[in-house]
Amino acid sequence: MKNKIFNQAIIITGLLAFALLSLSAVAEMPRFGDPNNPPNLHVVDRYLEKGEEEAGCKNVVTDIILNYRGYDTMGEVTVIFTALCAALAILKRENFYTSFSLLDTSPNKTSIVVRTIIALMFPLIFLFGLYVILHGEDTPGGGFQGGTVIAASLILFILVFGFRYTLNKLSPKFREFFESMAPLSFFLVGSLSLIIGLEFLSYMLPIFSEGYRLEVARLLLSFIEIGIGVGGAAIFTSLFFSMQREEK
Amino acid sequence: MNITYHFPILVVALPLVGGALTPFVGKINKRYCALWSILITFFSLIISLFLVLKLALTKKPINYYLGGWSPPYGIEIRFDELSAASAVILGLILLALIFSWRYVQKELDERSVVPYYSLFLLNTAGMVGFVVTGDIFNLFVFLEILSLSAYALVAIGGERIAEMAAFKYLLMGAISSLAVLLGIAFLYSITGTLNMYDLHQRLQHTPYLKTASLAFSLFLIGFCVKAAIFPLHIWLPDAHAIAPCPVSALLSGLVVKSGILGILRIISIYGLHTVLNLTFLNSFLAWLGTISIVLGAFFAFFQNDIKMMLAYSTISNIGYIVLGIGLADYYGLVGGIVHIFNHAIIKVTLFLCSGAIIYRTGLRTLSDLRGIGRKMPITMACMSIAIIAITGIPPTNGFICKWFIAIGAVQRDKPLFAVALLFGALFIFAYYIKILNSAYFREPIRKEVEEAIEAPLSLLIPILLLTSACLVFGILAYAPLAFIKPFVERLLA
Amino acid sequence: MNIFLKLYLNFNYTVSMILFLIGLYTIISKSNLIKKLIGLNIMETSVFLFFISIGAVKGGRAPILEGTASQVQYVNPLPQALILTGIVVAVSTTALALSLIIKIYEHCGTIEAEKLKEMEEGR
Repeated sequence: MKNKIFNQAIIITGLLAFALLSLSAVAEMPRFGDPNNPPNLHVVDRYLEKGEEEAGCKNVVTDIILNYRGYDTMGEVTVIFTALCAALAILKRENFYTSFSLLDTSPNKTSIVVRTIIALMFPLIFLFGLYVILHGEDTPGGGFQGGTVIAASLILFILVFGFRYTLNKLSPKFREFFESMAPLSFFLVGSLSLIIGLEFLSYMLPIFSEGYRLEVARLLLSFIEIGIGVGGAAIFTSLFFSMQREEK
Repeated sequence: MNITYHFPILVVALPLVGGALTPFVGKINKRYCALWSILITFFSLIISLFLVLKLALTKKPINYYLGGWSPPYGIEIRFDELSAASAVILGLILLALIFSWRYVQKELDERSVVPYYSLFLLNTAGMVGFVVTGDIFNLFVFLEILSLSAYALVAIGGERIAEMAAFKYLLMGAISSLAVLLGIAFLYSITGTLNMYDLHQRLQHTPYLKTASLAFSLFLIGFCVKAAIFPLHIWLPDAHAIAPCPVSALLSGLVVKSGILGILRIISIYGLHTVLNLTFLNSFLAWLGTISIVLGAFFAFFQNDIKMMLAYSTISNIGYIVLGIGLADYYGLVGGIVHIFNHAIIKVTLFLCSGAIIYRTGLRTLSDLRGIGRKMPITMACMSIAIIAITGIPPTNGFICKWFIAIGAVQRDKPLFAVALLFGALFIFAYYIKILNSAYFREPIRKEVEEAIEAPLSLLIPILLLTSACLVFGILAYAPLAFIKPFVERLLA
Repeated sequence: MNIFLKLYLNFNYTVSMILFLIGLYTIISKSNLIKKLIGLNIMETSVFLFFISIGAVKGGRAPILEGTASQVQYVNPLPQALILTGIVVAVSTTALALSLIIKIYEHCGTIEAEKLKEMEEGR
């Protein structure tokens, strides 16, 4: 008992020391909300001024993540793909004969009220997710944002209707195709600009005439967004499926 | 514009897309995955060697602006002397993959084989992307790619202790990544830019000193956990000893080095003189390094399991590298940075040799492996040469770095560090004599050892190549030293 | 008193630092692995809060361009773009940690760190 209190005291002392250091640094930082602090002055003014004519979207955040800093987003989809590979390496893909959820083994099904409402809401949520994916350019939204909404609707469906019922409709073979879509769509668009001779992930391709370049850039951005959205949704759903385990 | 202009991005994109396509290759036939990953790594290695050659001839860093946006508005890839580590990374991974071909077929569950190669390739892409990038947030993203795949590769064996070790590694690694992200946040809030060269310019004249030093401490904590420097090294022995042998080689040889390369990048962003003024880095890093050397060597002596011994030896050698960097003078820095390269080669050799022994006999402890030297002569001969290399005896490659670090310590009027260096070397020598004694001069007591034959060819070829690399880089020791010289001079200027 | 005024003006930053420390305390002192994971998530959320607050501008609007950009004050879009990536990274780490916890529970029957340490020392 004494040992435990001693340990807790040491931990709390250490954390308080770190708190003092960090709060003294925080007090020195530029003021919160100041329009003239260093981050708001330096790089961002060009993004806000020339974002639409250079990068093609009214939504500056989409501009940044897909056009100016597209390489970071390529890294991000690789991270989520790595998480999927890791979960599959550790858990192994779900099997119809060995995995099942609590709902499949219990004698009662979910209440009829819940089932009806989810059956009515599920297509609407799915549609909303698709809307968010496709409308990332001029309104708030984007690839990954919509992908998580779609994945959430699918997981909701699985939770209410049971694992085995949905496994038939969303079989592993069907999902495997979509899982790799996110990194591959980036690589396809990037190679397009490589073949033409520009740097990787350039969108303003000079082989099109001046007036069409922006439209082509927007089209390529939409393509990548759909890739990220659908890929992200497939990855989250696969992660959820592979975690279905019955307690012994 | 020819294809060589695009090599800086291809060296990262090729393993990345290879890792993303590996599940498809696995669906065609599981056996093709090994060949696919070997081919991809081979082509990336050629691209990387081309870039290193170009760098050595022109002596100017190679810049590549992604998307055509010039920095700081876009991300740039800046291939300088530290990025030449990508050639080392790709070469060692190629040999580890050739070794894995037979090894994972026997040792791993067959449903884990395809994710194994996929994770290996993604880890490669993460490490290569980490060393070539010129943008600090991109550094964080690739740090996460390599960390996540490392956590999963530790747990891929499937045993209970593997998962517990992986979980401990994950917790400490995730906290350290968050510390790095917090440091990036502090730096961004006082400078407004994320490009490393731009940050370097802006940090020279910043008035926010406390914030900058807190950011530096956070970076240091984060990268010290990744590099397993005392006192944040507790995740390393379990994780490296329990992982499958090619994975241990990858982790000990390359992934912990990414922590050190991160520290070097941060020091080059801040500028060495600013760092020496801002914090008490002057002696702090050197002391941490010395304690790591002594502690690692001490604990390694009392281990019975060869892989645990090698894991503690990694902690000890990382201590050498950090001591060299912490001395902050020409000889120390050059010795420390070149030791990254040499230790990677030696440690991968040692782990692959123990992998060959485990493949043939299934035994890991020294007391079980008595007399293995006469049953597997080539493997043990290579292991002996690697042991001589790691002790630091000429003409192997371990000698020149330790010599340089010792000169650096003496030049800085801190002979205590040179004494610690010698002490560490003696301890390492002692415990490796234990291994050699057990292997050659004792009679076999286990049946598996008596029935053992030499390892198959696909396991022997990487081991032989690596051992010859140890000797070659011991004789041609001045090549890496001359190569790293412009970087150190830029750092000290 | 001056420092407290500054900390009050930088309220978001102060709170995110406190949350960071609460998360770190949870990871270190709680025994259940799931609670440690929740502590990790609290830490990650605090770092995201910190980063996004850097880009806040008083009276700024969301960065969706409407006509001429020079007359309207916009919030800084760059931290938001970076944190989108950060959130995905945090989710990936959590997914991986949960897979490991599931396997640990399957093999050991418990997810309390103290009991797991006893098991590991006992073997």
